Amino acid sequence: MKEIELTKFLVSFNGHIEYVIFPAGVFDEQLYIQYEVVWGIDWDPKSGLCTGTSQMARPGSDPEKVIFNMPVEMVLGSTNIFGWPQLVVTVRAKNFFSGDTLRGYALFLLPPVAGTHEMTAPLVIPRSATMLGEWLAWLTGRQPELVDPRMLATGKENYLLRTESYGHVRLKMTMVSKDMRKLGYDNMAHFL
Amino acid sequence: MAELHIIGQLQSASDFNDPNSLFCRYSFQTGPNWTLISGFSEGQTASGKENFKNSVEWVHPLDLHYVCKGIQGWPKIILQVSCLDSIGRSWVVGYGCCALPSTPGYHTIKVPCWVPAATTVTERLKQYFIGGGHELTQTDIINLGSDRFKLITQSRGEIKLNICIVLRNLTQFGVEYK
Repeated sequence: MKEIELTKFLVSFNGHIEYVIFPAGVFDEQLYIQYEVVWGIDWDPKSGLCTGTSQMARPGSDPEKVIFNMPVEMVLGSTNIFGWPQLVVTVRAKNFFSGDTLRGYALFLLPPVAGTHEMTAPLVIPRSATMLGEWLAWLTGRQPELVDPRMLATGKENYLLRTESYGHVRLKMTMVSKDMRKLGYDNMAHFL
Repeated sequence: MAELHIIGQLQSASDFNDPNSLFCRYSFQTGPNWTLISGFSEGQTASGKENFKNSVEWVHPLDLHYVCKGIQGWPKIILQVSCLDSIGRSWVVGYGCCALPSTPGYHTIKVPCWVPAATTVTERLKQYFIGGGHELTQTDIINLGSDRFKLITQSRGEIKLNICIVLRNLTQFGVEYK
Protein backbone atom coordinates (compact mmCIF):
# COMPACT_ATOMS: atom_id res chain seq x y z
CA MET A 1 0.00 0.00 0.00
CA LYS A 2 1.26 3.42 -0.86
CA GLU A 3 2.30 5.46 2.10
CA ILE A 4 0.42 8.71 2.20
CA GLU A 5 1.50 11.56 4.37
CA LEU A 6 -0.48 11.72 7.52
CA THR A 7 -2.05 15.07 8.35
CA LYS A 8 -5.29 14.23 10.07
CA PHE A 9 -6.13 12.64 13.35
CA LEU A 10 -9.43 11.27 14.51
CA VAL A 11 -11.00 11.53 17.94
CA SER A 12 -13.93 9.51 19.14
CA PHE A 13 -16.05 10.56 22.08
CA ASN A 14 -18.42 8.13 23.63
CA GLY A 15 -20.36 8.75 26.76
CA HIS A 16 -23.41 9.89 28.61
CA ILE A 17 -24.74 13.00 30.18
CA GLU A 18 -25.65 11.15 33.33
CA TYR A 19 -27.60 13.40 35.62
CA VAL A 20 -28.30 16.91 36.83
CA ILE A 21 -28.10 17.88 40.50
CA PHE A 22 -29.92 20.76 42.11
CA PRO A 23 -28.76 20.94 45.73
CA ALA A 24 -32.03 22.34 47.07
CA GLY A 25 -34.27 19.86 45.31
CA VAL A 26 -36.13 19.93 42.04
CA PHE A 27 -39.42 21.79 42.08
CA ASP A 28 -40.16 21.49 38.40
CA GLU A 29 -42.58 19.01 36.98
CA GLN A 30 -40.30 17.94 34.19
CA LEU A 31 -36.75 18.70 33.20
CA TYR A 32 -35.06 18.12 29.91
CA ILE A 33 -31.65 18.81 28.47
CA GLN A 34 -30.36 19.79 25.08
CA TYR A 35 -26.76 19.32 24.11
CA GLU A 36 -24.62 20.75 21.37
CA VAL A 37 -21.07 19.88 20.45
CA VAL A 38 -19.09 22.91 19.37
CA TRP A 39 -15.73 22.74 17.61
CA GLY A 40 -13.19 25.04 15.98
CA ILE A 41 -12.47 25.79 12.35
CA ASP A 42 -10.10 22.95 11.54
CA TRP A 43 -12.46 20.32 12.81
CA ASP A 44 -15.12 18.38 11.00
CA PRO A 45 -17.55 15.79 12.26
CA LYS A 46 -17.25 12.27 10.87
CA SER A 47 -20.17 10.56 12.51
CA GLY A 48 -22.61 10.92 15.36
CA LEU A 49 -25.10 13.54 16.38
CA CYS A 50 -23.76 16.94 17.25
CA THR A 51 -27.02 18.10 18.84
CA GLY A 52 -29.70 16.33 20.78
CA THR A 53 -32.63 16.71 23.10
CA SER A 54 -33.32 14.37 25.96
CA GLN A 55 -36.47 12.89 27.35
CA MET A 56 -38.60 14.70 29.91
CA ALA A 57 -37.38 13.56 33.29
CA ARG A 58 -38.32 13.96 36.91
CA PRO A 59 -36.47 13.06 40.09
CA GLY A 60 -36.88 9.74 41.85
CA SER A 61 -36.27 8.93 45.49
CA ASP A 62 -33.40 11.42 45.59
CA PRO A 63 -35.15 14.77 45.23
CA GLU A 64 -31.97 16.56 44.14
CA LYS A 65 -31.04 14.36 41.24
CA VAL A 66 -32.60 14.04 37.81
CA ILE A 67 -31.19 11.21 35.76
CA PHE A 68 -31.11 11.45 32.00
CA ASN A 69 -28.34 9.09 30.92
CA MET A 70 -28.38 10.79 27.57
CA PRO A 71 -25.89 9.22 25.17
CA VAL A 72 -23.42 11.41 23.32
CA GLU A 73 -21.43 9.73 20.59
CA MET A 74 -19.27 11.57 18.13
CA VAL A 75 -16.27 11.04 15.94
CA LEU A 76 -14.45 14.14 14.80
CA GLY A 77 -11.41 14.66 12.68
CA SER A 78 -8.95 17.52 12.61
CA THR A 79 -5.50 18.61 11.60
CA ASN A 80 -5.01 20.82 14.64
CA ILE A 81 -5.80 20.58 18.33
CA PHE A 82 -6.90 24.20 18.39
CA GLY A 83 -10.67 24.39 18.59
CA TRP A 84 -10.97 21.19 20.59
CA PRO A 85 -14.66 20.21 20.79
CA GLN A 86 -16.72 21.36 23.71
CA LEU A 87 -20.11 20.28 24.87
CA VAL A 88 -22.75 22.84 25.77
CA VAL A 89 -25.61 21.45 27.81
CA THR A 90 -28.80 23.46 28.28
CA VAL A 91 -31.07 22.38 31.11
CA ARG A 92 -34.68 23.47 30.77
CA ALA A 93 -37.80 22.87 32.81
CA LYS A 94 -41.35 22.40 31.71
CA ASN A 95 -44.13 23.38 34.10
CA PHE A 96 -47.86 23.66 33.79
CA PHE A 97 -48.06 27.31 34.87
CA SER A 98 -44.78 28.90 33.91
CA GLY A 99 -44.29 26.94 30.73
CA ASP A 100 -40.81 26.32 29.38
CA THR A 101 -38.07 27.96 31.44
CA LEU A 102 -34.32 27.88 31.50
CA ARG A 103 -32.51 26.20 34.40
CA GLY A 104 -28.96 26.78 33.24
CA TYR A 105 -26.13 26.15 30.86
CA ALA A 106 -23.16 23.89 31.43
CA LEU A 107 -19.98 23.88 29.43
CA PHE A 108 -17.68 20.87 29.20
CA LEU A 109 -14.39 20.55 27.45
CA LEU A 110 -14.50 17.09 25.91
CA PRO A 111 -11.53 15.15 27.29
CA PRO A 112 -8.30 15.70 25.34
CA VAL A 113 -6.75 12.68 27.08
CA ALA A 114 -7.60 9.10 26.15
CA GLY A 115 -9.59 7.10 28.65
CA THR A 116 -12.79 7.44 30.62
CA HIS A 117 -13.38 10.67 32.43
CA GLU A 118 -16.08 11.69 34.85
CA MET A 119 -16.65 15.39 34.79
CA THR A 120 -18.95 17.82 36.50
CA ALA A 121 -19.77 21.28 35.27
CA PRO A 122 -21.72 23.93 37.13
CA LEU A 123 -24.97 25.22 35.72
CA VAL A 124 -24.77 28.89 34.90
CA ILE A 125 -27.84 31.09 34.49
CA PRO A 126 -27.68 34.52 32.88
CA ARG A 127 -29.08 37.36 34.95
CA SER A 128 -30.52 40.70 33.91
CA ALA A 129 -27.93 43.44 33.79
CA THR A 130 -30.28 46.14 35.03
CA MET A 131 -32.61 46.53 37.97
CA LEU A 132 -35.55 47.09 35.62
CA GLY A 133 -34.74 43.91 33.78
CA GLU A 134 -34.69 42.06 37.06
CA TRP A 135 -38.13 43.37 38.01
CA LEU A 136 -39.48 42.52 34.60
CA ALA A 137 -38.07 39.03 34.89
CA TRP A 138 -39.73 38.64 38.26
CA LEU A 139 -43.07 40.07 37.04
CA THR A 140 -43.31 38.11 33.83
CA GLY A 141 -41.61 34.98 35.15
CA ARG A 142 -39.37 34.90 32.13
CA GLN A 143 -35.66 34.79 32.85
CA PRO A 144 -33.09 36.06 30.38
CA GLU A 145 -31.74 33.40 28.06
CA LEU A 146 -28.96 33.23 25.55
CA VAL A 147 -30.00 33.36 21.92
CA ASP A 148 -27.19 31.02 21.04
CA PRO A 149 -25.67 29.07 23.96
CA ARG A 150 -22.70 28.21 21.76
CA MET A 151 -21.33 31.65 22.55
CA LEU A 152 -20.28 30.25 25.93
CA ALA A 153 -17.83 27.97 24.15
CA THR A 154 -16.13 30.78 22.24
CA GLY A 155 -15.49 32.90 25.31
CA LYS A 156 -15.17 36.07 23.31
CA GLU A 157 -18.25 38.02 24.35
CA ASN A 158 -18.78 36.40 27.73
CA TYR A 159 -17.65 39.49 29.57
CA LEU A 160 -20.97 41.17 28.80
CA LEU A 161 -22.85 38.55 30.74
CA ARG A 162 -23.92 38.57 34.35
CA THR A 163 -24.46 35.15 35.74
CA GLU A 164 -25.37 33.10 38.73
CA SER A 165 -24.75 29.45 39.28
CA TYR A 166 -26.86 26.77 40.80
CA GLY A 167 -26.62 23.04 40.41
CA HIS A 168 -24.36 20.94 38.25
CA VAL A 169 -24.33 18.42 35.45
CA ARG A 170 -22.46 15.12 35.47
CA LEU A 171 -20.87 13.72 32.34
CA LYS A 172 -19.04 10.48 31.75
CA MET A 173 -17.02 10.46 28.60
CA THR A 174 -14.56 8.08 26.98
CA MET A 175 -12.07 9.43 24.51
CA VAL A 176 -10.17 7.36 21.98
CA SER A 177 -7.85 8.96 19.47
CA LYS A 178 -6.23 7.77 16.28
CA ASP A 179 -2.95 9.01 14.76
CA MET A 180 -2.45 11.74 17.34
CA ARG A 181 0.80 10.31 18.56
CA LYS A 182 1.96 9.68 15.00
CA LEU A 183 1.52 13.37 14.34
CA GLY A 184 3.80 14.17 17.24
CA TYR A 185 1.17 15.14 19.77
CA ASP A 186 1.63 14.18 23.38
CA ASN A 187 -1.44 14.47 25.54
CA MET A 188 -0.79 11.77 28.12
CA ALA A 189 0.65 12.35 31.55
CA HIS A 190 2.78 9.17 31.40
CA PHE A 191 3.84 6.91 28.64
CA LEU A 192 1.91 3.71 29.02
CA MET B 1 8.90 23.66 15.54
CA ALA B 2 7.62 22.52 18.84
CA GLU B 3 4.05 23.36 19.66
CA LEU B 4 2.07 23.79 22.83
CA HIS B 5 -1.67 23.69 23.17
CA ILE B 6 -3.38 25.01 26.24
CA ILE B 7 -6.99 23.99 26.41
CA GLY B 8 -9.20 24.19 29.40
CA GLN B 9 -11.38 26.36 31.49
CA LEU B 10 -11.06 29.22 33.89
CA GLN B 11 -13.33 27.41 36.26
CA SER B 12 -14.20 29.35 39.38
CA ALA B 13 -13.19 31.59 42.22
CA SER B 14 -13.80 30.56 45.77
CA ASP B 15 -13.76 32.20 49.19
CA PHE B 16 -13.63 35.77 48.01
CA ASN B 17 -16.66 36.41 50.24
CA ASP B 18 -17.77 39.33 48.16
CA PRO B 19 -21.48 40.20 47.96
CA ASN B 20 -20.99 41.71 44.51
CA SER B 21 -20.54 39.74 41.35
CA LEU B 22 -16.98 38.94 40.37
CA PHE B 23 -15.27 38.74 37.03
CA CYS B 24 -11.74 37.91 36.01
CA ARG B 25 -9.40 39.33 33.42
CA TYR B 26 -6.65 37.02 32.37
CA SER B 27 -3.63 37.28 30.17
CA PHE B 28 -1.02 34.77 29.16
CA GLN B 29 2.56 35.95 29.22
CA THR B 30 5.38 34.23 27.43
CA GLY B 31 9.02 34.82 26.69
CA PRO B 32 10.33 36.06 23.34
CA ASN B 33 10.74 32.52 22.01
CA TRP B 34 7.04 31.95 21.95
CA THR B 35 4.52 32.95 19.30
CA LEU B 36 0.80 32.65 19.59
CA ILE B 37 -0.63 31.13 16.43
CA SER B 38 -4.30 30.98 17.28
CA GLY B 39 -6.50 31.77 20.23
CA PHE B 40 -6.66 34.79 22.44
CA SER B 41 -3.99 35.51 25.00
CA GLU B 42 -6.22 37.96 26.86
CA GLY B 43 -9.81 37.91 27.87
CA GLN B 44 -12.45 38.56 30.43
CA THR B 45 -14.97 36.23 31.94
CA ALA B 46 -18.62 36.80 32.64
CA SER B 47 -19.39 38.39 35.97
CA GLY B 48 -20.92 35.87 38.29
CA LYS B 49 -22.50 35.93 41.72
CA GLU B 50 -21.24 33.72 44.50
CA ASN B 51 -23.33 30.64 45.08
CA PHE B 52 -24.13 29.06 48.42
CA LYS B 53 -20.74 27.35 48.49
CA ASN B 54 -18.99 30.74 48.31
CA SER B 55 -17.74 30.13 44.82
CA VAL B 56 -18.27 32.03 41.60
CA GLU B 57 -18.54 29.75 38.59
CA TRP B 58 -17.18 31.29 35.41
CA VAL B 59 -16.44 28.23 33.26
CA HIS B 60 -14.65 30.41 30.77
CA PRO B 61 -13.13 28.45 27.86
CA LEU B 62 -9.42 28.78 27.14
CA ASP B 63 -7.87 27.58 23.90
CA LEU B 64 -4.41 28.70 22.87
CA HIS B 65 -1.89 27.42 20.39
CA TYR B 66 1.75 28.41 20.83
CA VAL B 67 4.82 27.65 18.81
CA CYS B 68 8.16 27.83 20.57
CA LYS B 69 11.76 28.06 19.52
CA GLY B 70 13.06 27.48 23.03
CA ILE B 71 11.57 26.69 26.38
CA GLN B 72 12.68 29.88 28.09
CA GLY B 73 9.69 31.92 29.12
CA TRP B 74 7.23 29.07 29.44
CA PRO B 75 3.70 30.58 29.49
CA LYS B 76 2.32 32.08 32.64
CA ILE B 77 -1.21 33.15 33.33
CA ILE B 78 -1.87 36.40 35.11
CA LEU B 79 -5.23 36.87 36.71
CA GLN B 80 -7.01 39.91 37.98
CA VAL B 81 -10.31 39.47 39.75
CA SER B 82 -12.60 42.47 39.98
CA CYS B 83 -16.02 42.94 41.44
CA LEU B 84 -18.99 44.62 39.88
CA ASP B 85 -21.54 46.03 42.28
CA SER B 86 -25.23 46.66 41.78
CA ILE B 87 -24.75 50.22 40.58
CA GLY B 88 -22.11 49.34 38.06
CA ARG B 89 -18.93 50.28 39.92
CA SER B 90 -16.03 47.94 39.71
CA TRP B 91 -12.70 47.61 41.47
CA VAL B 92 -9.97 45.04 41.83
CA VAL B 93 -10.37 42.42 44.54
CA GLY B 94 -7.54 40.05 43.72
CA TYR B 95 -4.36 39.49 41.76
CA GLY B 96 -2.85 36.14 41.00
CA CYS B 97 -0.24 34.57 38.81
CA CYS B 98 0.71 31.03 38.02
CA ALA B 99 3.22 29.26 35.80
CA LEU B 100 1.58 26.72 33.56
CA PRO B 101 2.61 23.10 34.03
CA SER B 102 4.92 21.56 31.47
CA THR B 103 3.68 18.01 31.60
CA PRO B 104 0.93 17.01 29.20
CA GLY B 105 -2.47 15.96 30.45
CA TYR B 106 -5.00 17.35 32.88
CA HIS B 107 -4.07 19.81 35.55
CA THR B 108 -6.21 21.45 38.18
CA ILE B 109 -4.49 24.62 39.25
CA LYS B 110 -5.50 26.67 42.24
CA VAL B 111 -4.15 30.18 42.21
CA PRO B 112 -4.26 31.97 45.56
CA CYS B 113 -4.90 35.68 45.25
CA TRP B 114 -3.92 38.81 47.10
CA VAL B 115 -4.89 42.45 46.85
CA PRO B 116 -3.26 45.69 48.05
CA ALA B 117 -4.66 46.33 51.51
CA ALA B 118 -6.14 49.45 53.04
CA THR B 119 -3.40 50.96 55.13
CA THR B 120 -5.13 53.53 57.32
CA VAL B 121 -8.19 53.32 59.52
CA THR B 122 -10.11 55.86 57.48
CA GLU B 123 -9.38 53.98 54.31
CA ARG B 124 -10.54 50.77 55.89
CA LEU B 125 -13.77 52.39 57.00
CA LYS B 126 -14.26 53.86 53.56
CA GLN B 127 -13.74 50.50 51.91
CA TYR B 128 -16.12 48.86 54.32
CA PHE B 129 -18.97 51.32 53.84
CA ILE B 130 -18.50 52.72 50.36
CA GLY B 131 -16.48 50.05 48.63
CA GLY B 132 -13.51 50.45 46.37
CA GLY B 133 -9.95 49.39 46.79
CA HIS B 134 -6.37 49.92 45.79
CA GLU B 135 -5.14 48.97 42.39
CA LEU B 136 -1.61 48.33 41.20
CA THR B 137 -0.25 50.85 38.72
CA GLN B 138 2.58 48.56 37.72
CA THR B 139 1.00 45.22 37.12
CA ASP B 140 4.29 43.49 36.37
CA ILE B 141 4.75 43.14 40.11
CA ILE B 142 2.18 40.33 39.95
CA ASN B 143 4.54 38.01 38.15
CA LEU B 144 7.85 39.42 39.25
CA GLY B 145 9.52 38.88 42.56
CA SER B 146 11.29 42.20 42.80
CA ASP B 147 10.07 45.44 44.44
CA ARG B 148 7.49 43.70 46.54
CA PHE B 149 8.83 44.75 49.89
CA LYS B 150 6.91 48.01 50.17
CA LEU B 151 3.61 46.46 49.25
CA ILE B 152 1.06 45.74 51.96
CA THR B 153 -1.40 43.14 50.87
CA GLN B 154 -4.37 41.25 52.08
CA SER B 155 -5.11 37.62 51.29
CA ARG B 156 -8.14 36.78 49.22
CA GLY B 157 -9.65 33.64 47.79
CA GLU B 158 -8.52 31.14 45.23
CA ILE B 159 -9.05 30.84 41.51
CA LYS B 160 -9.41 27.38 40.05
CA LEU B 161 -8.25 26.54 36.56
CA ASN B 162 -8.77 23.27 34.75
CA ILE B 163 -6.16 23.03 32.07
CA CYS B 164 -5.09 20.35 29.69
CA ILE B 165 -1.66 20.66 28.13
CA VAL B 166 -0.94 19.00 24.80
CA LEU B 167 2.59 19.17 23.48
CA ARG B 168 3.80 18.47 19.99
CA ASN B 169 7.25 17.52 18.75
CA LEU B 170 9.02 18.61 21.92
CA THR B 171 10.85 15.33 22.29
CA GLN B 172 12.15 15.70 18.73
CA PHE B 173 14.11 18.72 19.87
CA GLY B 174 15.51 16.96 22.88
CA VAL B 175 13.26 18.57 25.48
CA GLU B 176 12.73 16.21 28.38
CA TYR B 177 9.59 16.97 30.29
CA LYS B 178 8.83 13.64 31.90
